Parts: sequence; C-alpha cells; structure tokens
Amino acid sequence: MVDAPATTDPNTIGLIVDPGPQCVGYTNGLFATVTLCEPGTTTCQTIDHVLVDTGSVGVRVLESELTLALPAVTNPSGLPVAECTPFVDGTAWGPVRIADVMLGGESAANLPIQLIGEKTHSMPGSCAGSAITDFETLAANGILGVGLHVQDCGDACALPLPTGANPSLYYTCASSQSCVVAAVPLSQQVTHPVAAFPVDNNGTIIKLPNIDSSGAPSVPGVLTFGIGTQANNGLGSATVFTLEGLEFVTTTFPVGGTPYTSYLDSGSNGLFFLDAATANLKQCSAHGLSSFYCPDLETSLSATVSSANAASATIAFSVASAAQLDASHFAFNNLAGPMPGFPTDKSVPGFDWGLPFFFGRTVYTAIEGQSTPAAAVSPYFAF
Amino acid sequence: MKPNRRNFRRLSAWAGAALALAVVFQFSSRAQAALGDDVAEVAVDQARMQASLQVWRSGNYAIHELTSPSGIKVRHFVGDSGKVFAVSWSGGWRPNLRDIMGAHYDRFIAATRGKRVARGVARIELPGMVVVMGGHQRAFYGHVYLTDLVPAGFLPEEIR
Repeated sequence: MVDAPATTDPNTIGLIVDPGPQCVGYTNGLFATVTLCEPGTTTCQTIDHVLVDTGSVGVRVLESELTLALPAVTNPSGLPVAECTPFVDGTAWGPVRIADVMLGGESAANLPIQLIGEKTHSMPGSCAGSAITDFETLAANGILGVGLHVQDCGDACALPLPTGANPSLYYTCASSQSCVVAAVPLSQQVTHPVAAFPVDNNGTIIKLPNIDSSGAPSVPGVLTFGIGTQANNGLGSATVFTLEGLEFVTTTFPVGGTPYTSYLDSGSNGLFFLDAATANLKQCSAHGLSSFYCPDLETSLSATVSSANAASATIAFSVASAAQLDASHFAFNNLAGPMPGFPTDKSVPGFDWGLPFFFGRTVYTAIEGQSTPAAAVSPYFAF
Repeated sequence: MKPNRRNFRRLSAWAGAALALAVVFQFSSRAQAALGDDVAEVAVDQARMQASLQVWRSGNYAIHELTSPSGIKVRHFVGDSGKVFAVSWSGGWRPNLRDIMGAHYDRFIAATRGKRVARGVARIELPGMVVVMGGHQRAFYGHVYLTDLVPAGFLPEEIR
C-alpha cells in the first residue's frame, strides 16, 4: 500500500488503485488523499485512502481517524445534525461537521462533511441498513463523493417531515443516544467539495491508464478539478452524454441489441450487468464470489453507450473469472458480475459501469446546475 | 511489500460467521406490512409512508404497489394465503429496510455484518430468504423474497 502520488498542477490530485488502507485487500478501490482543516485555521490533518466515488456526493471520513476538533452543524435550536446515509452495501452513520477541505491547490471553506462513526451519537434504530460505522465496515478511511449533484440529498431533505416526501437522511441529536429525523436546509447538507471551490468548480475528471488483462498490483491516476476552466481540463474530443432523470445513460447490449438503463460509478468495484443467462456468462460458484462472473475463458464483449443528445460510443470490454485473478494484483479491468435484481422492468438498470470502465479512459463528471463549455446542460458524463 | 490477502477471501469467511450468528438474533414483531406479514398490514404501511396504493393481480398472486410522496415505489407480492412473500423497491432513496423486512430484518443485518465483497451491488442469500440491492445515491432499487412462501411456479424474475 502506498499513498496516492503527488501532482504538480494545483487543480489536480493524485489517485491510486491499490489494496487500500492497512493493506485491507480492497479490489478495484480508487483512492485519494484528502486534507481537512479546522475552519479558518492552519490546524489540518491529511487522510489517505479515501475512496473516490462518482456515485455519491460529499466528503466522509472515519470519525476514528480524525484528530481535529471540527465544529458541528447545528439546527436553529443548537442541536447537532447527524446523517444516516444509504449506500448500496450499507448505511453510513455519523455527525455532520464543518471543515475546510483541501484537495491539491484547491480548497472548499466551511464545507459540511460527514464523520462516519458512533463516537458522538449512537446509530438510532430508525436508521436502517447494515451499519457502516467503522474501518471494518468501510474498508477505507473515507469517501470522496464527486458525483453529479451539489448536495448528497438536495431539496427533498429540506422538506417538512409531515409531508412524507422527506427521505429521512438527516437527524438532529438532543443527546448521544437520542437522534431523530429532521428537515435540514441545503446549506447544511453534506456538499460536493468541488462545487464549493471558488474556481474549477463545475465538475471533475478521472484519468486512469490502460492496464493489462492480468491486472496490476497498483495503478496511479489523476483527478482534475474543473471542466474547460484551465489549460489542463478541456473536454477535447470527449463525447458528452446527457442523463435521463439526472442519473442514467442507455447501454445497448449487444451492439444493435436491447437498450438498458445504466450508469457510471467509480465506487462500484466491478462491471455489474444483466444476469448470467442474458449475458451468457457463468456466475461464480465459489463461496463468497457469487456477486461475480467466472467464465472458463476470458470473454470479449461490446456494447453501445448512448444518450438523448444523440451521443453514442461503442464500448469493448472483457470479463475474466473472478476466481482466477492474480492474488498479488488489486486493479482489474475485467472484473464483472451480474446486476442484482435483473431482469425486471426499467426501474432496475441493466449496466453499472464500475471502476473497470475507467481504466484507459478520461471520464468527465459535470455537476448539476454548473455551466461548462459543453452545449449540454449539466449534469452529464463525458468520455 | 507482497500483499497476500484479498478482501473478498477474508470477507467470505466473515459471511460464514455471520450466518452462525443469525440464530442468536430472534424475530421481533412490528406493526407494518413487512415480509411474511398479512396483506391487511399494507394499509399500515400506506398510512406510514403517506403513499398512494394500486393493486393488481398477476397469475396466482397479487401486487400491492405503494408510491410515496418522495417517489419511492414499494411493491408487496401477496400469495393466496394472504401473506407477503416478496417486497421490491425503487426510487431516489431506499425505503427503511427494517420496515420492509420486519421480523426478518435482524437476521439480514447479522448476515451482512462485515460482508464487503462486491462494492456497488449486494446479493445476500440466507436460509429461506434472498435479498438483492443495487444503485447509487439518488437511485436505489432492490427486492427481498422468502423462498418458502413464494407461490408454486413463481420465478424470482417475476419480482419487479
């Protein structure tokens, strides 16, 4: 395990795909190093191995890692705010605090972030799902959510509770043992750090090199801030894909075949698509690997990604057996598995283009409501 | 440095340990239409979620679909015995899994403890119960069903 490499341009930071913090053995985890400071001070702390996730928004770090005294976000009565944040494989719980967040040469002042842990407030029973409250359950030191939106929740979490339209992510806590669901205004919600930069704040770019089909022990990359704001972050020849429902592109598989709802997500550690029968791939039978495909031979496939703005790209990808991966490697462009719940109606996507998709590409994520040089209205993905 | 551990191997051992733990966590009772409950309890869910209700029949079971003001759809699949044998959900946010799974929630939690194999998707198989989940922030979906309660001839693919 090494830390993400240093970069020279102030609007960039280094990325690394490696076994993760404490050599936990994370497969296809994309990590960055984040610096947090007590607001308005030079009392700062650097936290390595924070998972870079285009599928979520906001900075979250383990409460157990934090040595700083960060002020709480409080409601008008002075009660501290906490959050119950759903992720696919669990629910992160912990207090919402204010920090100055430094990423390379850029900084987001007074940014609401989440601490993950129960040191301040116990996870209440009403916050359901498999608890993510410590290193054991997160397997990273935090999450750097660089997704499509400005806040993690948005308008819905500011709605009065009696309407039933508030998804109940935010809480206020009268004591360490009594947290209850609360409406929280946008300005107090966990916020995209890049959207809060004074410049280079309209999106992010993840650039990872190609890797061999046998994988790699570790892979360095670069996260760039801003789209078309500096000499180093132009769209160039990238194709812009507008999003259906602010989230989805269409993936047609095989090329010329059936269209499926789909998305890009650097926080998914594999390509998750269709099911074994539809993809004509064998699912792994080994205990603990049933989330992955295990074809006898590495299988080459292709699909078309398209969106309503008439953008289209053919994606060649391959699927290797998850049971036969090189044990000394932690980055793979051919780790894949079935999409849970497929087949069903359009509410279940057909493709999750996870981290393997990002190798050998430059992927742009434009933040909702921000303007970029593209004709398309944000949010969008481009690659 | 030569890494000799991979997360999913380490974690598969944990999943086994969690299954053993499941015996310790006994069922709790809750007043809502969760998995395995009577269909009459759907009305309780409807009130709690302030949801609209649509009901239709498909072969030898009925589907009771609740749509909350936040746009989350929760479908209860009800067999001729009047028991909810499956629940599916989709929308910008995940509904409360404790409410969805009812008496089966605690053993689901016990089985997922420490289990981090695939990131971005989840499929958890327990004795008599299957849970699948996917999506990302602002777009979640999933379903759960009880294998012993599903009607004759029912295929998991029919849960939508």
